[in-house]
Amino acid sequence: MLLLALLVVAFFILLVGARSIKTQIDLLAFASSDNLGWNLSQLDVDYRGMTIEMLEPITPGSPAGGEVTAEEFENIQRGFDIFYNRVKVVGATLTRVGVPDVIQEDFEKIAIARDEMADLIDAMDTPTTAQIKELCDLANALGAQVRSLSTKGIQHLSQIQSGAREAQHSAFLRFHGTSFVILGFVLISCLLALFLWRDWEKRSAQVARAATNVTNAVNAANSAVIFTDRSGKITQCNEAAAHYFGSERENLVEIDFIHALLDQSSLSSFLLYRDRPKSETIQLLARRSDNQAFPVEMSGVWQKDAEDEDIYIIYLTDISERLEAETKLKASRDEAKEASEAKSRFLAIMSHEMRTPLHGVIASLNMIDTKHLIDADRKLFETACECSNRALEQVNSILDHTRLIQTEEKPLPVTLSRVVKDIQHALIPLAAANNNTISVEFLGDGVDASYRTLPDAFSRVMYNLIGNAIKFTQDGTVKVEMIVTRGKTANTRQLNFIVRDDGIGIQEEDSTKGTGLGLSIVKHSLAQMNAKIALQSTFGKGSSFRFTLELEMVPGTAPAEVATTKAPPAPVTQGATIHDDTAPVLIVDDNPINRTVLREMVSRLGYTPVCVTLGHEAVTTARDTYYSLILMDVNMLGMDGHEATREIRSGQGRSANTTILGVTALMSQDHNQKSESGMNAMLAKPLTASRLTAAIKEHVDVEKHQSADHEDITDLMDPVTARELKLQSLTDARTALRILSDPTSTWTARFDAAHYAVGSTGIVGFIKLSQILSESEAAAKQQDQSALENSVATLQETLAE
Amino acid sequence: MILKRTIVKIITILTLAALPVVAHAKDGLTVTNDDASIVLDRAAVDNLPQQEFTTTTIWTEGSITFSGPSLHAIISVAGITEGTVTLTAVNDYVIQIPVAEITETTPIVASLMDGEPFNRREKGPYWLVYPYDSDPAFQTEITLSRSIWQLVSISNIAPD
Repeated sequence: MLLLALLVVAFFILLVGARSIKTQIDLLAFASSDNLGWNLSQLDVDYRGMTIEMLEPITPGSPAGGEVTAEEFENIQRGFDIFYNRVKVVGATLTRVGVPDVIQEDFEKIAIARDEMADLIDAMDTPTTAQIKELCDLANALGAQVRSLSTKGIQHLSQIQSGAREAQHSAFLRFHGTSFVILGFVLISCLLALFLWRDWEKRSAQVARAATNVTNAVNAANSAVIFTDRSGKITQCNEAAAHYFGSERENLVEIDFIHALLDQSSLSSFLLYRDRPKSETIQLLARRSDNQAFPVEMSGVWQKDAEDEDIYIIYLTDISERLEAETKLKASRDEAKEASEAKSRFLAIMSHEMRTPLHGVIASLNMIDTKHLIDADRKLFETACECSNRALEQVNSILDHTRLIQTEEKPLPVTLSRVVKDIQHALIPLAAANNNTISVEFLGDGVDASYRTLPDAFSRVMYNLIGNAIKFTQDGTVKVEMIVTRGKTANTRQLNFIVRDDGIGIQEEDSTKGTGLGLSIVKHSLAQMNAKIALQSTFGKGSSFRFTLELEMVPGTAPAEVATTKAPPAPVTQGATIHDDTAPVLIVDDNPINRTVLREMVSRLGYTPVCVTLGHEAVTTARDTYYSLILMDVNMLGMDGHEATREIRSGQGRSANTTILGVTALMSQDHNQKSESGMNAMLAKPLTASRLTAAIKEHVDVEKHQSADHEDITDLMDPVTARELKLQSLTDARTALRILSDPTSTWTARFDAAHYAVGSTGIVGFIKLSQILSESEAAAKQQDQSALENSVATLQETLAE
Repeated sequence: MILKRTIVKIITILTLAALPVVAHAKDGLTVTNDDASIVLDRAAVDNLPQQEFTTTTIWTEGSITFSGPSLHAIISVAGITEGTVTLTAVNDYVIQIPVAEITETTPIVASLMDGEPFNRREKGPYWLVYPYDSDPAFQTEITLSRSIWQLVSISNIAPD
């Protein structure tokens, strides 16, 4: 802008200067005043010419001799006419140019004299010498004036001309000055232009450098960079691209990227990615010029080029090596996993192999009649019992631990309070053995709700914590608390579990090591539920273990079938009398030791044992004979336990509906659920007489003698345990009553409470109570308010008794 | 028009050729083409195609209407078509004009001022004039010096 303004100003000044110069030059061109100078000088010349002609006739010795010839007169006339005209011209010029009065006066005198002479000449016809002389005198008298006029005129003229020259001079001077100003402007303009040019050059250089840098960066990149137009035609690419596709850069240009360089299978995903830009990369299959496919990772971006056309820039990375490495990594991971599994399998097998003979030892010891032993032997016997039991416990723990690592559990909805109660019940006998009591307390809103968590892991934790507490406490109390508090959202709850005892406590150095496998299992299981165990312990005063679970509540769902890991049912005192049952018991086991032990055990329980060693044999004999019970080893050579069970159940044989109890060393605890093959329950090896009795009670007797109520399990127990159990069942019944009569409790909670109390009271022989509770249970199930109220009233009366 | 003018010209030439060579005839204008000279008297001059314009001059006062044949017409009568013509006045003032610079209409050999013949005292009887006011190009020194008055002869022979 400034440059333009400067140039405009310079141009304007130049125009004005040039105009004034032109005026001056024009003045020079019209040399009108100069003509006056010529005329003035000619005036003198013409005057003299005329006088010479006039003197000719009157000069002595003239050819005519006193006569004026016609020729002479003609010459005089011509000379005068010339002079006459000259005077006229000078007069007109003087008037036009303008002259001082002095000159004007001179001229007027001459004009007057000229006219006088004209009159004289015009009057002459044939002039005489005298007449010519008179004319000549007149002319002579004019001489001084003519001289003066031409002299003064010329002088005046030179003054005018010198004035004009001065004017021209100053005009040129002005122009000269103006030229300098213009020059200045032009110089500034030049400087400005130079500056602008330099700046432009610098910018161009920067742009060029930036472009070079980009080009270098693109070329040096390890990834292939490819520029395509809208149709997918390559407009540009870098070295890496040429290298990738095994071609030359110039050969790739103009090629259709989509159809020539991509594998057919990647076409649609490329187009989808290109037309719906996303930030992440995609994996494609590209093709080299030799048609060999290779995997690439691609990202792309739309840009505008210099002509504002859309271009698509593609970045490709060859990932064949990476994928290869990943494959290798996966392989080695799988290998490691396999090795770990092999180790676990080995451990499981080892445990199994060790347990089978141990079972034999324990079962045999179990059956030795100790009454006849002398004291020293009895001590040795007790040591043997204790050692074999401890060895089995260790093996079981290892097995447990192995299984723990192997299994991957899925979260299910579980009513945790019920699980806790189940475990409490299961452990009451163990507690009683150490003269301990277990109390359970639930606090907070959502105690009875179902939560989504890992049921087995939770059961393991509670079982081990409570079991440990009982083990390390003598004549004390184990308190289990479950406190429900608000969670982070409306649907979640914080469940705080505390297991306290007033036993010996744990010394600090021990607490870090943990107490054997039990605590290790707890830690591992809690880790599966994203929780941690916290321990507070004072040596000699007791310990408290606590952990917190933040769980999602499952609203409105009935508590799921709780897969609790059932603790061994209440131990039954040895030598308990079993009702007589005429039908024999079939024992199926391919291991002779097991067979012997089981046969002995069954016969001691009052049944008639029948032994077979193979699954086939079992199926055959079960078809022909009715057995009151079949004890089926699960892992057998040939047809295994499950297969045999399926055969027996599917056939129409005499024992098709007989209770079948699976016996296995692959479990450390009994399992009360029906197996898919049709076994009523699974019993863990080594089977003790007490657990077998309990199982028979539960699965055989309950079924057969549900109405025959004379059988009371408490008869099978020692009096202390029996009392504990009875008290506990009464507590359960009261809890059920409280929940049933509470108008705010849900039907599900009522059903659960009643159901629980039915089992609890039934097993200890409170038949009436159990019956009333079962009515309540039915009412709760049907959500029948009046029926429930009736049964609750009866229940209240009965309990009061 | 052109045809008519051409016919007039041919007739004029034939007429002039028939005339006897008379020196110093009254208001005579001598036109010389190499060895051949003709003298045009006033009637002959007036018979040529006439041009007319009005202009001021630096030598006179006021505007004057000049009329007379063009110089081109006069030299054409003598058959001069190229070279340089020399014009001479009664006082021996001599000027030269290249034929190439003579157009068909300009300059003119004026024989009338404001419709009147003019005598020797008034720059007559013939005055070579240009239409000075019509163009600044006719105000240059060369043009002014060529404006010869009291014209007596025209020749294509260079003076000594």
